[in-house]
Amino acid sequence: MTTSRRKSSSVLLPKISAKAIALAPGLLCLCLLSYPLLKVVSSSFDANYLEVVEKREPKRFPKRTYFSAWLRKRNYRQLSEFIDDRLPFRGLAIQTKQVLAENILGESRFTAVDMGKNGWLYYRLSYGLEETGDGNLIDGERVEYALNNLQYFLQWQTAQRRKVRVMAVPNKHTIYPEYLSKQARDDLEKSQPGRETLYEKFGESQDKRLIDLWDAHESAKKKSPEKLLYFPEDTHHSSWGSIVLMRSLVQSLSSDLWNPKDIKVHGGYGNWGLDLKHILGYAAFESEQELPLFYLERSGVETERILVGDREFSSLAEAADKGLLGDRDSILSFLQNSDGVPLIPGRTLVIRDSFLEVSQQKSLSQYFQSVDYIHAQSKSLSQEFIHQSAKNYDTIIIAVVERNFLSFLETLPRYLNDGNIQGEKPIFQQINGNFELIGKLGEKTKTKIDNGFLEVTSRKAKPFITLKIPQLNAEKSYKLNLSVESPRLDRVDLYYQSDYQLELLGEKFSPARRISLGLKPGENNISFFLQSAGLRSPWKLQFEGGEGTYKIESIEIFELPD
Amino acid sequence: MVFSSASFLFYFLPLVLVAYFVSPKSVKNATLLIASLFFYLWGGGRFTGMLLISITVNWLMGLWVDRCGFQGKDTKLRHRGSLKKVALVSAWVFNIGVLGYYKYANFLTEQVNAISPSIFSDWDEIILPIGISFFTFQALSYVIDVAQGITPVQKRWDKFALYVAFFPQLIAGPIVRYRDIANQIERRSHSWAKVSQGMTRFAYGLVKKVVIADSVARVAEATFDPGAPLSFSAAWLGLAAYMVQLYFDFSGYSDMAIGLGRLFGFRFPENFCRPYSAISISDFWRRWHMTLSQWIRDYIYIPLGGSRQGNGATYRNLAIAFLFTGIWHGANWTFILWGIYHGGWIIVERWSGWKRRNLSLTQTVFCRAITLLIVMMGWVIFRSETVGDAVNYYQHLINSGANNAWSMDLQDAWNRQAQLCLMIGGVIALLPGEINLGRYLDWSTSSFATGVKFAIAGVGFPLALLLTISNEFSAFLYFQF
Repeated sequence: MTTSRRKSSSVLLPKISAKAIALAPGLLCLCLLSYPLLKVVSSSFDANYLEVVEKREPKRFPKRTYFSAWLRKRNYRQLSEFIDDRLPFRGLAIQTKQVLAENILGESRFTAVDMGKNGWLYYRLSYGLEETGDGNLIDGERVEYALNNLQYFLQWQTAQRRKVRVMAVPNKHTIYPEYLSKQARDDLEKSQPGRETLYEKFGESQDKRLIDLWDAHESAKKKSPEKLLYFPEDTHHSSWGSIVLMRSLVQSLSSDLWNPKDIKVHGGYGNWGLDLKHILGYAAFESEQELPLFYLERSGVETERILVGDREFSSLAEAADKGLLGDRDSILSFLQNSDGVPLIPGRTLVIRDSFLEVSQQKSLSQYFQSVDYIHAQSKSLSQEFIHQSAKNYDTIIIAVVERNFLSFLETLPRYLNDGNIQGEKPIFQQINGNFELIGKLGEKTKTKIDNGFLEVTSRKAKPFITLKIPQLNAEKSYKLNLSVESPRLDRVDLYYQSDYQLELLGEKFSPARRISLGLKPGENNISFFLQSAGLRSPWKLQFEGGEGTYKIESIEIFELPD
Repeated sequence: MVFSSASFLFYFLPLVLVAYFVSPKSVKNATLLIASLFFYLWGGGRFTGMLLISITVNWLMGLWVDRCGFQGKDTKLRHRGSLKKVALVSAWVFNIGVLGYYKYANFLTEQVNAISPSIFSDWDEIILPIGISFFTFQALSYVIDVAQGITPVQKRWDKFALYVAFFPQLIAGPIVRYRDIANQIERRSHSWAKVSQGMTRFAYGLVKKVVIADSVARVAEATFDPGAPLSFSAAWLGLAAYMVQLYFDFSGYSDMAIGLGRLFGFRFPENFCRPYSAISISDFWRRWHMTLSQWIRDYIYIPLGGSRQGNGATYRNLAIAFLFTGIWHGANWTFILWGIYHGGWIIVERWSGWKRRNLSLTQTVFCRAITLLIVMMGWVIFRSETVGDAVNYYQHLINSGANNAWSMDLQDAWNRQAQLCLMIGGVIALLPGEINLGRYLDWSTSSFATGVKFAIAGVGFPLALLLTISNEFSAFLYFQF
């Protein structure tokens, strides 16, 4: 009796465990679906990740909650985004994926970031001369176009006498090429001829008006190689690199103003938000290489007034508390007085980029009697503002980083061309109310001319307009300039016709003959380049974001030089 | 909603599972129907109304056809000739009409406009309802089956609606026929074993889609997207990547659908059986998108006469069936040409008297290689956006002397992850034809199968979830069909 009971239990046990083992994988998968329950413990981490790394608010619950709104896909799309942003430990998942890719797969390139040697990271889109567009490598045609524009810039610059200075900030890879990966070096080589031509011509044209930071950086690096000029994991300058930039700038404006004793050592180490680490998705902020902090302090100089836009503040901290300092659109102004210490006289305007952020602006302002900083992508930087600036300021400094050089030359002359300068004449122009629309509009698209703008509005679908253009020369290439105000981060597609393609197949507007460019919210000045031979009418401009109002200020088509 | 989205994986599916298993038996179908309609509403929005209309009309057609076919209480089939034909033709006209309007009207107006631009100058583009090709075919097959007496009529609207709209197979198949699950709608059993089996199959499909297909997708995009710079090596790499992507994407989706069905006690037909191991094009179509092939065979090819009326008629019927297959995939000349291309090869095989019996190992390897090459050449037309793009792609596949530089996008996409996944995908796709991991995992209790299941649950599935959480949304390829 006892033996048989033992036997049956010994047979039964393996059976039960075999069944349990067979069930286990599926049930484990099922358990993993309860992952959102981790939200209970992840809230603080998730909020921090969105705010600090992704620098954005979490997506909101759909605004429209009435019944019929839930019959539309849009509400569900918003709901999906709302859910995605609230997944527990989402940031941790992104970082884990990155760690796996780096350490297990040995990945050395992630979209915009190249993993260099010794932990150095490089912003890949800066190898060419611009950071947007199709790929980052420029071609000779664009360089030609930019150089063609250079003459208009020079005409304007000369008209302002010598008060307009351009400060060219080198990219990190130009100063520290030794840490680049082989892949990155190969890419750089491809854009080398174009870059060299442009720098050479630009340098020649500027003569002493160019604040050239290349030599300053090279010599600073040679003199003290241990003092890194850039963060290894960021595109920007370290505090020492900023000091080198400021020294060059000040010395170029007034040779006897700079005093090395103004450079102070903080004694601590910075805790920085490293942009390339952010692009990779990491929430960690400390650089693996601790860099000492330097800053400038001029004795005898006192900041009398600080203005953010029209609002006056007693200190930058006060403006920061009001949340006004991160705003690109506002102009930040400093007015100094001194007890006999010399300052650069008059009013100075600095059209800046991210290499002159608030802390650098404050340090630099100690050398100026009055200095205003405006971001190059500020909404306030209108054509009118620039023309007024020529009258209102004694010195204008345009700071532009190497990677933005091409777009700088493509867009600035347009601002400066006020009609007095003989600019290139578009062969086709629809501007300020002279819009001629032909053919159909997009589904539910409405247009109206309002205050010189063509407003294209759609409630339900992607709005588009078709353009009737003259037959263009089959031997030439063309450029279409579009000035448009977009309601959102978006994309605009230009569909064009070409004899060269197989039109007989009946595809009136085919993705094969489409050029897409990104739009930022607000004003955009963008250029499409068309190389296909035999371009003919009609063309279509379609806004991919869908509903909303797009305000088109102008559409111009230019023939490119041979 | 797609299966690989966080909304589906972490909210919709767990909630529906809980609701389903706590529901009394009598309302389980209703629970699934409501969940399925909500699922469609999420991705299809206002087209849910159209889905409901399609369901209702086909259900009524089924009743009408049935009334024409049966008389009194007698269960024997009685043919009522013309009236039944009218009902059946109406079902065809309605379903193909709806499909034609939504899917092909834009294409047809474009063709007309190309000849005479003024005729449809005010034509507004029609938006395609998601999954319309799949649910239309399912509904139509039901009406035909009822007419032919193959399946009994479903008198309850809700049960028929569940058949058409059941969310696992609603938007990308497999194309389930009513006869396959009629009994399961009425009654089905549930067990932990089925839940576990279903979940494992689902996980397996998700891994195929998210880990492998999505990893190689960028390589294919970097070569096939209009305007992408091409070279000889880039064109071949892109084609290999697309071959792997398409198979793992679509078969992964089918695995997920089959797994989800199993969770709720259903058994769906298989949709793939190692298609790249085919030794002829006819063999390929017995292994690729099997539910579509069977649908076309049963409702197009055989009614046309099949192979019973001599060689000429057989070739004609094959040509029509494959033309239909091509058109079903989309309103574009590329799909039409792709259908003709495959139909042409099938006709050639038939004409040459090709048989696949008693092949030696060398012959099998040779036949597999040739078939794979023919299939891959077909994917070029299938993936290209225009015929011009396809011609351009073919030129680069042939012209080895051309510049062999890769575009920046391709260099980006060809990272270690893509290399590894293309290698794994290629090996899995090209294994001997008898090895079918999905099905093997379903029935096998061997220690190897258990080990693979644990690997999927412990490594593959968490990795797929990690990628889902951290990745941007990517839609399934077959939604467009």
